[in-house]
Amino acid sequence: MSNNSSSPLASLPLTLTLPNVDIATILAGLGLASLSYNAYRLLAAAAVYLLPSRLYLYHHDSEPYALVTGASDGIGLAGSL
Amino acid sequence: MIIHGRNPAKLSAVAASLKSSFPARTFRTLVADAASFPQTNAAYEELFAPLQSLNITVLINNVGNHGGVTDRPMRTVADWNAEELEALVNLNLSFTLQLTRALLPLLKRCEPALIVNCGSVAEAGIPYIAPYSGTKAVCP
Repeated sequence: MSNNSSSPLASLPLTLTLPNVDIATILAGLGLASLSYNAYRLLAAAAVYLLPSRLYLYHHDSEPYALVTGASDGIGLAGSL
Repeated sequence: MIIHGRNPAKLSAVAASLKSSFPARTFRTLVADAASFPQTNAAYEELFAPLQSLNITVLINNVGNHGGVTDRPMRTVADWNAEELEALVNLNLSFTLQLTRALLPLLKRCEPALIVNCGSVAEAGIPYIAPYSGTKAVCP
């Protein structure tokens, strides 16, 4: 007994206190984070179709050209049109 | 607009049809077989020599397919031969990468400029088209 009380370990706090947060709050936080992330992704994907084109930014100087590779067929042909 | 393709006759026909639809626009053609294009500085310099004086502000990297392989396109890597694989990698990866590199100084001169790469969901990795998936992961 007297040995124990003189040990250096005895002076350390042996109880670990957790912050007083219940599991429902943690799950709600995770849910909000996940919802925000997916809402952002949905809006970012929709923005491509909803916002006006900014292609005019690349239409400058005299006779600006666009080079399309593989343009005689498929996606390249459709894109050229 | 400059349209690139490997078959001069087919490309000219496309250019003519584009011209009739959009008479106010100018269409030029650029002929190069992406699957067998020599990967040298000289080859790209020669390819772009006629374009050096133009204001190119947009590059659409669209060229690419399954290496022109139509016979059993879904197969394991072991079932490809060396020439087919070389053509696929050249077409989908090397040509786009090298062409972009070679055209960068010109695009830089014409800033603001835009580069669009055409991707594929195959970049995630699809079984039995592994070589194609790999090229799409590098040049998405």
